[in-house]
Amino acid sequence: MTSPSRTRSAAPVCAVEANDSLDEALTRIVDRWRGPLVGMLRGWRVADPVEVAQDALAELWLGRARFRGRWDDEGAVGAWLRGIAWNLARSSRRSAARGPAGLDEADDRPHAGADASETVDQTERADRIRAAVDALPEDQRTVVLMCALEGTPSKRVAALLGITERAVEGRLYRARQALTETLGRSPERNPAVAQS
Amino acid sequence: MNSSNLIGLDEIADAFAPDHPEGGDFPTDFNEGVAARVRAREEAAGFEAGRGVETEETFFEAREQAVEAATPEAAHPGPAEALDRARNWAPRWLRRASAIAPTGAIKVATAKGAKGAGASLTAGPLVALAAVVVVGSWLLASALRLSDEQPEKAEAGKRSLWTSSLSPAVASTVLVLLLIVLSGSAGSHALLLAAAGSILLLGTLSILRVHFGTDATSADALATTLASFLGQVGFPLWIAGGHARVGLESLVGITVVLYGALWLGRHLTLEEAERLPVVRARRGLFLVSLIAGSGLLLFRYPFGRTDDSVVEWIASFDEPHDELLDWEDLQALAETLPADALQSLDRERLASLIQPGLGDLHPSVVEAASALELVPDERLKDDLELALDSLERSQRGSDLSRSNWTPAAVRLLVRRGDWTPADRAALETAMERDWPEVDRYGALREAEELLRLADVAGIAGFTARHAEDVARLLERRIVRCHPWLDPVSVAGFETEDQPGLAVPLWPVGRASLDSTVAGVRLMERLLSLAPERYAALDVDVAGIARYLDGEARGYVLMRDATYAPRAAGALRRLEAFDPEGARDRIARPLRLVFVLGAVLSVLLAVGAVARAGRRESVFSGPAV
Repeated sequence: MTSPSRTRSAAPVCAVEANDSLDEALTRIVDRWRGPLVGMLRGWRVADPVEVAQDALAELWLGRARFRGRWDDEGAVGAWLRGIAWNLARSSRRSAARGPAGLDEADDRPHAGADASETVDQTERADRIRAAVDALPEDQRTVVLMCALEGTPSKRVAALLGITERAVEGRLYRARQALTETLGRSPERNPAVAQS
Repeated sequence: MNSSNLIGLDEIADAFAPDHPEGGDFPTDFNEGVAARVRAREEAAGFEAGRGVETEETFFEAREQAVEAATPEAAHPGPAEALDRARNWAPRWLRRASAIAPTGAIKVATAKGAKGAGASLTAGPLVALAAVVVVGSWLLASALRLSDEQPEKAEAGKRSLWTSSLSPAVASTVLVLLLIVLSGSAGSHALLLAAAGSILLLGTLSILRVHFGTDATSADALATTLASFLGQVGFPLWIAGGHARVGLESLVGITVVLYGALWLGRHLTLEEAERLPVVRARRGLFLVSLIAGSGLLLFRYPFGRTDDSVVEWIASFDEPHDELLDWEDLQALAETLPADALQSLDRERLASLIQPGLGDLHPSVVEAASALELVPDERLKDDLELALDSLERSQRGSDLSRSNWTPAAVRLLVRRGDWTPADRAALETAMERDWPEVDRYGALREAEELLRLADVAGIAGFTARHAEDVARLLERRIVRCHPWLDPVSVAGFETEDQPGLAVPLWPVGRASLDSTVAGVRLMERLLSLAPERYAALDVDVAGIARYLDGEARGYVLMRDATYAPRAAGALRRLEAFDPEGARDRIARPLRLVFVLGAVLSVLLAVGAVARAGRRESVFSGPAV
């Protein structure tokens, strides 16, 4: 379709794909940023990162008129989204009941995919991983969570954090190193992981 | 540790899977959640119920209206404003090309363009740019080739030489255009240097081999050599990367001078002795004046040189609240003003610019505006509550998250008299914990931010305790400035995770500038804390100053793209604590070059006059 209106609207909506409709453009934006955004909010110890991430992406979409960059410039979109997320995270923390907002806070929720056959060892292992990630320095914790959730490439993580790709890779490596050391020292180390 | 032995990201993801919404597919559920929020907000805002999303036409119009509403001055932007805004997002090579070309010759596409800003270098301007380079290269090549011939032969074959210069001119054009296109990538400037250096060397050797020592034109050979030197080295460098360093006016001036010098040099070379000596003398003096004039252009004071110029710029500042970079730059520049000048700023006007968008302010803008006391306390309550909440949690056993403690929040607490020793101690502990390792990426900027926070929070001794770390940070980064390729090492901040990796020669990115600015602040602190340690570093102040000076001069050319105010602010700081005068050190080598050029030109003029006089006495004997 090459009508003037299509050509005209494709760029400002989202340059992910020239022929996207608005719904498709929104979906593409959300698909692109969902994983790293949730991870970043977890890294910031936001109590409900998924909710806040959904709010942030909705805010990004609704406020797109004020965005002056190019939608295919991940650095520009990432910076814009980071600012929105930061403001929402701050509001979320303010309104949330005061209490520990660490990564363990979500323990009370039902585990997706948890079933009766899940072994106690696996649960304990997951708990220990969560605790170990929680103990990482903030910059490493944030990066590892951003990369881990949906296998987000380091380039996009870097765009959202406003740092270089190499920095992301460096932090990720150090984080995994620290996690391996922490978890490896424990007597209940998971043999499957040890072999990997 | 082998990376294959490290814990896998999949396992980490699995461990955090419980955070996902209960049941179902996480991505699908998440996307639906976003879409539901969008629908709810749109309906609440008065969108037509059931329509879902607006049509594309309507969306585009709404977007334009929203932009106009948010930024009154953008309602009817003039061509210059539209161009500048688009330039912000254009690729570096296109910004450079559009900056080099005459105003309006290359138009960077605005948001209405089919592919967004920066994607349309249309055929016309490209041809115009190519034509400029062809003519320039043609002139250079002709001058070089003509000088390689004996004057008599050259005169005889002038037309054919000019014609035969076309091929190298075209080749040079392709090379220059290629370099401009590549100038955004690492290493392209090294290639440029090598190419220009090779041309210079070959040209000079060839000229000297033919002419030097002959009784006819040794002075002319020198003239041509000098002109070729300036032309061959200077022109491509200025074309490809110089605009950000010398400014548009200087660039134009220097280019005119170079062409003028070449033209004069060619005529000096070819002219026969029958020309009157006075003509040559006049031309020689003209050459001197041109070179001296270009020197003056080079040393023109860059943006932000004086307090008055800073105050004047702030008085004319009229950016809306969401221009993040501009507000940060404003603060960076304003804080270099003396107290009386700072107090004289029209804060009411600035506050009226920023306060309409208080709800949407980016954290960095909040901090910048808060430091200038433009943000009301109500807006800072968010920061304050977040900080206090973090403090309360830390008292219950968690670590205090330092990232929740903004200088704005601390400033507010101090102003209200609520800043207790216990708060100070908790924050100090968190800051000590977060103090970056020297080798870590971004350590320079993080360290500088922590020291600034310590100042605001009144944590005595924090800076002094970390003085040695500051020295090591500077030692590792700032000191590595190379005397000739000055900004190279400054840009090394971006590769700290990979020491030794190649970096661009002319960084124009914000990251390198921010790091440099942070480095200057740290230098200032170290000098006041441990002068002998600072002296032992032997920081290449001139190198840093040259880089900042270039960025500051860029204001003349590309206001939005070069972060000139921030660079000018850092340069002002540098000048304030550098007793020898950073700017003088920048100018010294350049001044030396132009003084030498001027002396040579005088000698040329004198030599030409003397030689012409002798020849006249020989050839103009009895006429009959």
